[in-house]
Amino acid sequence: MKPIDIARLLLVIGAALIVLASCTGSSLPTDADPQNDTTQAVETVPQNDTTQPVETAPQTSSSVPATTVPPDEAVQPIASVRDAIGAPTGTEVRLFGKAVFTDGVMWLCGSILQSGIPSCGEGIEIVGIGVDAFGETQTFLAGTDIWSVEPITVVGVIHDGLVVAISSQPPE
Amino acid sequence: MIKEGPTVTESDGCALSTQTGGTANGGRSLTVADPTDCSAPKPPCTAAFGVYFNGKQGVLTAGHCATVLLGVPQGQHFVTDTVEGLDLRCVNPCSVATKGYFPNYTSAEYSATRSYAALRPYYNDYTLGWDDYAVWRERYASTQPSGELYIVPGGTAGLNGFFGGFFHITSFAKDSQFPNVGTWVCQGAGNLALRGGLHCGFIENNPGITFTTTTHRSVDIEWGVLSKPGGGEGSSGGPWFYDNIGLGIHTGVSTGPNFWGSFERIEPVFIQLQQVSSTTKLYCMSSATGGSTVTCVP
Repeated sequence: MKPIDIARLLLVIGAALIVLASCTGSSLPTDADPQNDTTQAVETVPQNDTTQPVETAPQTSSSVPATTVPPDEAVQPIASVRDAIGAPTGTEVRLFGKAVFTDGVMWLCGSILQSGIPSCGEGIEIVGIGVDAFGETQTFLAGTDIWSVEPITVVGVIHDGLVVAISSQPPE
Repeated sequence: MIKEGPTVTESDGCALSTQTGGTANGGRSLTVADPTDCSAPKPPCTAAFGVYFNGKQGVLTAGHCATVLLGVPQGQHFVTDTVEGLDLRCVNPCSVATKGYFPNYTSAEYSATRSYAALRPYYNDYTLGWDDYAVWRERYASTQPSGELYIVPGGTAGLNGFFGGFFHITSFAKDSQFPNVGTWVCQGAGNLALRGGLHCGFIENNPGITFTTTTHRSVDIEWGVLSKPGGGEGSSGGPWFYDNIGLGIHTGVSTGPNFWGSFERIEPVFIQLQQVSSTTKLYCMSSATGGSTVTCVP
């Protein structure tokens, strides 16, 4: 098994935190230490609550009143791996699928090719979670491919074609 | 245009098959020997339908199977001399306890009898999310063409009471006559697949939500309750059909809540193969109860 490229991970995580800060309007979490083990799932980053009305930023001109976007018009996170592939940086996603850790890279698969050893038909790379987020796992190729037995849910943000995971849910 | 690809020979570790004869049935497991243990097969795929291509008989299967079995790069059209048999059978108690991808075999040894046609990967058209089919052709001219599918007993849903044995394909679906959403269709998975046998379900989406391309358009299947979740690992490349009509080549499953299966439709595959070799034919049977092997076009 190839080692994880720590420098790349740190770069992506750092960029993602900036993206998150800009998305949430908050400062960076005070415990955001790039030396932390980034393969562990992050579970406490707040998510947008789309069930509540979303208020726009205050307007500088008094002639343009602040508006409220009804919940059903709020932007929903992308839910399809296919749509997430190629989505611009900053796009929020909530993806559901089987995950695989192979060659030091984590993938969430929108489809799986069913040869003797499964492989992603359409997949997107994920950083920020580890195989501990998989729930029950299945191993192939002498342990180099670790699959989640059941699909998992990953909430995150696109950054340079990757999903930076904010939280994940193992199979119920 | 066919480009020369990797050639795998005995020097790679395993003796090539010298088995002559045999029949190129669809539905049989398809594999090559594992170089680290020549008595064992690599994780398998399944053959779809008998085909005549560029002067040789053989079978259609999924393109990604050549990538998995031989490491052929995606989308590379290739010729190789790798030769192995269809339908490697367990003889005596057979097992792959240490090879976790065949959990349905739990003790003893595999023995590759190579009872069926010795085939070699020959033409591959596959990239991720793109066309996913390949032709494996006969090594020896003695290989017999077949319009039959061999469906191993097992699986979880029958088609008109069919639960194993030879199934006779009598025609192939044109896209213009393609079955509608809601049609009950079936997948055959070879005996080395995770869940070999027949698995059936309804066409849920046409086009499917996966593998939609400019030339190939997959169709999603929502598995029948009894068939969920289909043949599993090792079923790639296998046949999809309904009644006695061939529909397509199994590619994989989408991993949404319903685990829909999807396949490449047969007519676009046939048309593309004819653009490479104009004499391409598919094999079928002259009647639903058997009879002679004839050639078909979608």
